[in-house]
Amino acid sequence: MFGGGMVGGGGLFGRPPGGPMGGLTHSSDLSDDIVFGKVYDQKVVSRLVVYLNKYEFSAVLASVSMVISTLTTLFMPFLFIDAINIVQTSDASTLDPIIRFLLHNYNVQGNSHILTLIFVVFVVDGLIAWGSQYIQQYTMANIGYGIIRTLRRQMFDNLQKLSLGFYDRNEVGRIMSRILNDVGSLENLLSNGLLLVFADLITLVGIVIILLGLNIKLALITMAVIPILVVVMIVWQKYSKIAFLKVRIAISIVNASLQENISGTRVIQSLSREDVNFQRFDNMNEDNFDANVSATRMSGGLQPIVELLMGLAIAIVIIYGGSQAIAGKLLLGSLVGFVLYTQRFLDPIRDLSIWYTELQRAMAGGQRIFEVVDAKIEVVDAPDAIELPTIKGEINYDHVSFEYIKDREVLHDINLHIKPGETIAFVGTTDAGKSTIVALVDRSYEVSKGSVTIDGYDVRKVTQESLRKQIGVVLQEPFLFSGTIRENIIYGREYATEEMMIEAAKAVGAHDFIMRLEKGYDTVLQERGSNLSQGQRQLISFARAVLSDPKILVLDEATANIDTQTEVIIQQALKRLLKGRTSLVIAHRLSTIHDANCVVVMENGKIVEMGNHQELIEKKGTYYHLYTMSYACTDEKLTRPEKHEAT
Amino acid sequence: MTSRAIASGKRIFEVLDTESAVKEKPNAMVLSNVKGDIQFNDVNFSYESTKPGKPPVNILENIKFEAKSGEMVALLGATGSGKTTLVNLVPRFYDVTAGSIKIDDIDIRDVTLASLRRQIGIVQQDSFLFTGTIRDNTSYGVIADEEDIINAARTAHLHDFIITLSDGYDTWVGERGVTLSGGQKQRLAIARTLLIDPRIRILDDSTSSVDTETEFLIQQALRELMKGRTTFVIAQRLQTVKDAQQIFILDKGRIVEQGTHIQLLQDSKIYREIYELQLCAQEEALGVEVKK
Repeated sequence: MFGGGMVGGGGLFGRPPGGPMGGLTHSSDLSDDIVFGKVYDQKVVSRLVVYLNKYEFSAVLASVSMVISTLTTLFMPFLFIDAINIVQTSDASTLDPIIRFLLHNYNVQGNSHILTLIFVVFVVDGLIAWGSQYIQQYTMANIGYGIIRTLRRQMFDNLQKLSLGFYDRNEVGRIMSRILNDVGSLENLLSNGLLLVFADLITLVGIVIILLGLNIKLALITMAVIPILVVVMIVWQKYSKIAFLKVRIAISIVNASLQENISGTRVIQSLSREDVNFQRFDNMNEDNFDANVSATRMSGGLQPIVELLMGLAIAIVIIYGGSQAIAGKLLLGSLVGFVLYTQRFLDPIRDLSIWYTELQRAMAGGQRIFEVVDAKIEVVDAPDAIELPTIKGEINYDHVSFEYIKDREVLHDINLHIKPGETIAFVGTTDAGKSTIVALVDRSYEVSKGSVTIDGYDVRKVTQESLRKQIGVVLQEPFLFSGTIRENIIYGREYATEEMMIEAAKAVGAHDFIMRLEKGYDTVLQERGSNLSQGQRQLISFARAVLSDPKILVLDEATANIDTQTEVIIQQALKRLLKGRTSLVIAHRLSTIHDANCVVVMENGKIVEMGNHQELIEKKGTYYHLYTMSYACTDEKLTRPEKHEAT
Repeated sequence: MTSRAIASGKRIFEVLDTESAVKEKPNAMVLSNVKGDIQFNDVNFSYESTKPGKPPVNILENIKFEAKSGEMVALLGATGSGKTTLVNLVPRFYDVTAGSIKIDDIDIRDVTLASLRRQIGIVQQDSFLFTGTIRDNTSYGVIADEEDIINAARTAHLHDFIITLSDGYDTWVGERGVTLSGGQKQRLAIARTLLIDPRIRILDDSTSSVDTETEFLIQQALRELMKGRTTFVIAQRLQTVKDAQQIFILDKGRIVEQGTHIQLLQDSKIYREIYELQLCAQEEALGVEVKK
């Protein structure tokens, strides 16, 4: 957009990370995609809790069902213990308290009846477990995706309101990465992760209590493997994190290389670089292969170790517990229960170690998301901003200075008075400040010093909406949206009638070519209007401007690149477009410069000359120099056809 | 899972099995040290018909001309008239469908692609940068001395800009590096071509996104370097093309007018129209000035 003015001025380069005016933080790796934060970041969590407040009921429901489903699942092996114990001993006192309570209450007696009761309890317990699990997942998804939706909405909303300065400092790619990757990593955590972590913790604690309750001595001996297991997990997690990070980086390098080589095919072929590039790609591909294999070795290596430890624990249970059972000190059911619960240790420990990494990513993601949500809007309406009444279009720059980055002024002390209906052509080299000066009118940027007034109203003292409604902006590369030509022309002026739209298209000479298209105004534009020529795209953006009929028009003329036939149409269209409006034109066409009421020549952020074309030529200053260099021939005198015929 | 894998497999093999339409002959020879005489002999070109049963439409028809070594050939015409396609045939990005193209009387289909393309330097409409340093991008495709790289950058009027960057020639550009403006990218592509110094040069609208002052400087540099090089120029600006030994105006894939600037001013209505639109006004303005 208007950032073009600073390219080459040094503004885009070498800016410090974060920037003095609210840039996004950079991650250390080049890709900016993969970041880890703390496992628990108070700031991020407290921000997220605010969003949870909206879902109070759902959150309580989810938590309750999570607890229920965890407890009911934990209870299941108990029923096996009960069944075996009752068969072995026929002694109801070996049963667990819940079954005992039911026996007592319903007065059930006899092994077969007791077994039937245990079966019924098992079915009921199972149903409750599944039911509560379903409710938990469903409500959690509701909350998680709901929060994600809110976050995306807030990011989008804020990104639209941010002034152009923000976009000068942050590349589109990095902003996109925030919206895609960071939201993704948070999504995972919010939609199911958070509760699962608690469920895992409850399960672990539950198992420990149950084992201790069954037999303290055996429990302590069995759990001797847990510390080893935890240490193994932590060590593994540390290395596997690195391994999987390498996998992600490797594949993103491969993809980037593919993308670059496919889009650069023409250059590569013309420079005969195929072999070198193939070799390079092959190396990257090999790195990716290696990374994947070693990551798999890593995860594959864990399984046997864990299995071994679990086997060890179970072996202890069988040897020690078995001898106890033989000695009659331990019931058979409890022995089986020990085996069942010991096996259940594994899952929560593994889950927790995975969630450890996920939490880190989510915290980092959350932090970066809030950076975007919080990015300060530099240009805001003043609290006492008034509606700008319908204007005549008089513009005044009063001692205006502007800097993108502190102490690096791009515009110095600009004084310029423009009467209603005048066309001002701005001329100068690429980094002279032309784009910046016109961008101050609709407050795309805020002046650093001085003021810009329209009809005597300081642009900072009126609402942005009322200001921008009266200013039309036509950019060098018109931005067309995917949709029909009709939608593109009436964009932002949806109340326009069919007649108004056609009239606007006719005014700029776009009607004829549109009607020649098979579907006329209903022709669907491809991505950014790539199925139209550049000239046609411009005409559509002109029509859009004419339809909105602004009193002030800011126009960044496209450079060349348009074929002659279209050029004629565009020159005529421009005349119609500029008529009756105060127009600020970054001019590249000589015809535009000729027709302008005043040509403003800029150099290094200053106005160096002002006047109409003729005056400036006669002055033989900067304009004359620019002009002769750009348009006239230096090495030979041009021969005009009439003269040629005459000689 | 399985059905998806089978479908993906099919699509992968489609990519693997796609044959390049441009193929080297088994006994292709190496093209070296060309003078740069280029001949187009009744060249036709059409893209393969995408709709079965519908005959392919000729994008280029009966293109016939000869460019002598060291000449500049300029191509003018509306969007879609076939200018870019025409120059794309020289490095064999596409093969002619009828007729032939010869460099120094050798049919370009008889030589290896690598040796052919090594003789040709292209500066495209959309300059493409690779992820890497400015140095890498300038020397892309050749091994070059620091001095040569700097000289090429100087000639392309990029050196002064490069040294303002904190990492100079080691600044990263491309996808995730520093963003260069359109003009800077183009000048980098020009520097690349200068460094390779091929006998045949193709400039595709190469100055369109450069501001007028830079354009002027680049043109001067190019003019200096066009000596002894055969150059194709596609441009919309007459300013760029009027020095050409031959100017072709293309319309719907045919050369409709040809000649030098002065000949065309006399004989060609189209050319005069373009001229009046672009240059005449400027000369008049200057003329007024000159009279005074």
